[in-house]
Amino acid sequence: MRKVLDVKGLSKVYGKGCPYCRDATGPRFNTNICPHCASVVAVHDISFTLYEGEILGVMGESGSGKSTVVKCLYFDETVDGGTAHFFDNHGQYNLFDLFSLNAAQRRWLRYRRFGMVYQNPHLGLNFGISAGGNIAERLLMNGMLIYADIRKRASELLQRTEVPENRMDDLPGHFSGGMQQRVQIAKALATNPPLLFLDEVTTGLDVSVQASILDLIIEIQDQLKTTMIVVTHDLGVIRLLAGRTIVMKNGCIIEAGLTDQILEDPQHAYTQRLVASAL
Amino acid sequence: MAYVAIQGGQRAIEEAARLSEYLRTEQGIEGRPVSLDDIKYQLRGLHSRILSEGGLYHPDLAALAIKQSMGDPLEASFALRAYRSTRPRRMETAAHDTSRMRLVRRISAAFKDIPGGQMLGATPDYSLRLLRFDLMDESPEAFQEIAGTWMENLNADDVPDTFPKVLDLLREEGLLASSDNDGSEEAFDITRQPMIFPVPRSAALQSMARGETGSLLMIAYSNMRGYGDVHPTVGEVRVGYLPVELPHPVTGTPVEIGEVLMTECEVVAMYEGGDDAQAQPRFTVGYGACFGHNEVKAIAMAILDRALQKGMQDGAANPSEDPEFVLLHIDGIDSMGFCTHYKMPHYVTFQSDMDRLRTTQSKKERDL
Amino acid sequence: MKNDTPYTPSTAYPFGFLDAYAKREIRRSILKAVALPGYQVPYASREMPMGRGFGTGALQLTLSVVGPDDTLKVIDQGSDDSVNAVNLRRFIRKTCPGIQTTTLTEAATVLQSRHRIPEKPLTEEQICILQVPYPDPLVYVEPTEEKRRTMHGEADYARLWVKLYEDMREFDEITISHRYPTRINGHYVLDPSPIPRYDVPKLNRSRALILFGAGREKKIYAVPPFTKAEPLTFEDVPFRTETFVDADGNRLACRRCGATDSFLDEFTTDTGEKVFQCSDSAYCLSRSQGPASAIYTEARHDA
Repeated sequence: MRKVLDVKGLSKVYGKGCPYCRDATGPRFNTNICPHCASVVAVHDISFTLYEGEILGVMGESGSGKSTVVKCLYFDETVDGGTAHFFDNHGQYNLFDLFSLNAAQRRWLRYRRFGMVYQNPHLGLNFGISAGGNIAERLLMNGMLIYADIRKRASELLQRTEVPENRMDDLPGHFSGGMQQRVQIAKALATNPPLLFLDEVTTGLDVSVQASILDLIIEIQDQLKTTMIVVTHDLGVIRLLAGRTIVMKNGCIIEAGLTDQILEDPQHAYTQRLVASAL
Repeated sequence: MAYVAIQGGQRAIEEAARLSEYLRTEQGIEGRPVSLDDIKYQLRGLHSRILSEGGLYHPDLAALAIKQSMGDPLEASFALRAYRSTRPRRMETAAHDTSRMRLVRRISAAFKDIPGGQMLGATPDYSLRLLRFDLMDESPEAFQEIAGTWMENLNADDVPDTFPKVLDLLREEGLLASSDNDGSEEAFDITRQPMIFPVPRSAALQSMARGETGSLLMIAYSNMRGYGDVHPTVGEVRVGYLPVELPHPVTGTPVEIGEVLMTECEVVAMYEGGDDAQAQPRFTVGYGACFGHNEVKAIAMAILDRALQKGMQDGAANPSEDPEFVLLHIDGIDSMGFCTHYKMPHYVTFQSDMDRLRTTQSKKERDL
Repeated sequence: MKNDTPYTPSTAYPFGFLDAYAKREIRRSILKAVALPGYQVPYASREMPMGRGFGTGALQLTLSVVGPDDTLKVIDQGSDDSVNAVNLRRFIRKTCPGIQTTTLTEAATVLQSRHRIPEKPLTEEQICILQVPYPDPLVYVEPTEEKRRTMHGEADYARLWVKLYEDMREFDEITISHRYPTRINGHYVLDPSPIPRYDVPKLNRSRALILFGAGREKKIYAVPPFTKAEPLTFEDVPFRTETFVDADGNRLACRRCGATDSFLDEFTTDTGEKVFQCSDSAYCLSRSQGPASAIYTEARHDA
């Protein structure tokens, strides 16, 4: 199987940082906050590999650092350590190396090879332009300059994500939460990115809406074979979507492996508690 | 066939200028030309404002600018600033120490009493703003009488020339960070270098020092009212004459060449934590200074200085903390020029707009 | 504190009003602008005796570029006699002794203009200087200058394109009339100043150097000669210029000279009649009365 992403030793610290930060925080100490310098070690020494066509689940509670991992990979945040290699039929990219990737190249990857869907639609959508306009932005950045083609493609994408066609020209603020997420997904898929990040995309939505969006994600994965990283605290989502999972606590990976195995036979005490407390 | 609106532009301008001159001298034999001294002395407030906004310390020419513009502050500042453009730069002064100001007024709101005392000077702050009808028909005799007897029995030696800075008291106690600025760092020059954001603090202070008073007041007021959290206490306002020194061209020793009237305000604001967890929190400072006696401007400037420093450090949480928003909209010459330009002919662009709308309307009509 | 010595200010200005340092900075900025077609070069714009918004940027360019051997034409809205043009021309004559002024387009070596490019095609011997209120087309979608600079550097004009998309979906037309965003030499998109769409094609592969001066916004930029200048539009939405047609779809003609190939001013007479005539007054006079008529002396108007 072809490797898509290879992350080694990813670390991110908010604050000044000091030599004791790494060793004084983590799941053993039950905290992210360094007692010496008050910095927050959001993620520490995260490593994983992602293969083409699979969905990797990143599970943990708030403060575990799971969202920070994808934010770093999507260039929303800078990192303080580690490497990440992205493999594509266009080439191989060393994501965190500022000498090999400049700002324009990072932007190119962000808009043409990656897709991101946020929990908060305000982060992923421009509420000042229409739903179709949001998708058009991606297509325009990708060099599609024929208006009729843009309309057609945007319409197709919205159809696939089950947004009614007559709402294509509406502003996102006029949509329900579930619909806004569908528009986000359509936008993220606009350029057929090989790698898609989904950050708590169903959290906060009604259960039935959650279910339909999860169905949509499975369908997309089935049709397009997009590689995905799904970040969530919800065991149900992990069970449904992810083939493999990593479990995070206080910024570190405490357990990793096949989802079935982790859920059936969790090894780490914390994972056991998580699985046991699932409703 | 008559050429409508084609010729006559030149003549119209000339006639407009003549008409303005007529208005300026309309009193005819009943009036007399206002002298530059009349303006400098009896219209001090306006005069100080023009010195400050024109950005050129030339009391006579500031008065002239006021005279020729018939008291319009935006036009007068404009004229003085345009004149400044023509002046060559011969020398540059070193940084000056304002504690050497020969003071005419000095107060602090931070303490009830300060070394040297609260020196109110000439201020309208505590006066009642009742119209003084007795001035409506002021006679030259009554006018001359006041100044005539003023200096009698006054002992000039009783009043010290200068006073220590209030903020130094706070520094001694460690409530305010001591300044590590020895004046050797080179300041930005907004008249010679283009402002490309982010700009250093010196560029912000320069822009505000010759900024339009109303604009500065408006943005500072927004911060005071809640679109911001400077929560200022006036540490010190001082007004006086700062001796200006230039290095002697041969020996290099500083030589006093004159003095400029200026206003300075230091505002103490919310305290902030130190750079690391070990450092003590301290009060923060906002600084304002300008030519002439302009207290509202200096205080507004000090508040904005603090707000901008905060904005540059933490990101702007409101307009007064956003350097681009503040610094690009406070220059009176830029803003009034652009506002005024809207009166110029725009009929070609309007023709273009009409074409767009007509095309769009006709399309809609076909669809309906 | 009475002033005993009478003040006698020097009234002598250097040639071109601006001091040598200012001119040097402006010329260097021009060279940089020509080397980077469409890039907005920041410069320390000086205050001039006319208001910001009245052409101080273009004026500084003109004053830095003209020499005593130049022939200058100044127009506003296409007309030499428009109040703004008259004012500027007077000032430049006063501060640049020896230069000739003309209304005849082909006789000018330097042309300063507000909101129009003349109808008669310009040549390699000429420099056209346009007055600019807003140098940056991205100001439509981003108010912060710092962010816009990064967007230009990366040729990231996506948000501008989206604005065009939104126009199309709402009006089936791109609604930008003047100041039409135009891509220069395949990279920087510039604001060509408030010239109408009609004049945008004149930028493409122009034989003359076209300079743009924004005094208040403190930027200089350029379209060098023989450079590609393409108005932004979708490949399937042709760029259309203003049309001057009557109710039957026939092209309107100038009522003075009969031209059907010029930008027309439209207005209503005292008798309520709607009339059209050439915006470019020199072009019109040339056609209706012969080229010599387009030159008129200004000696009696000089202060």
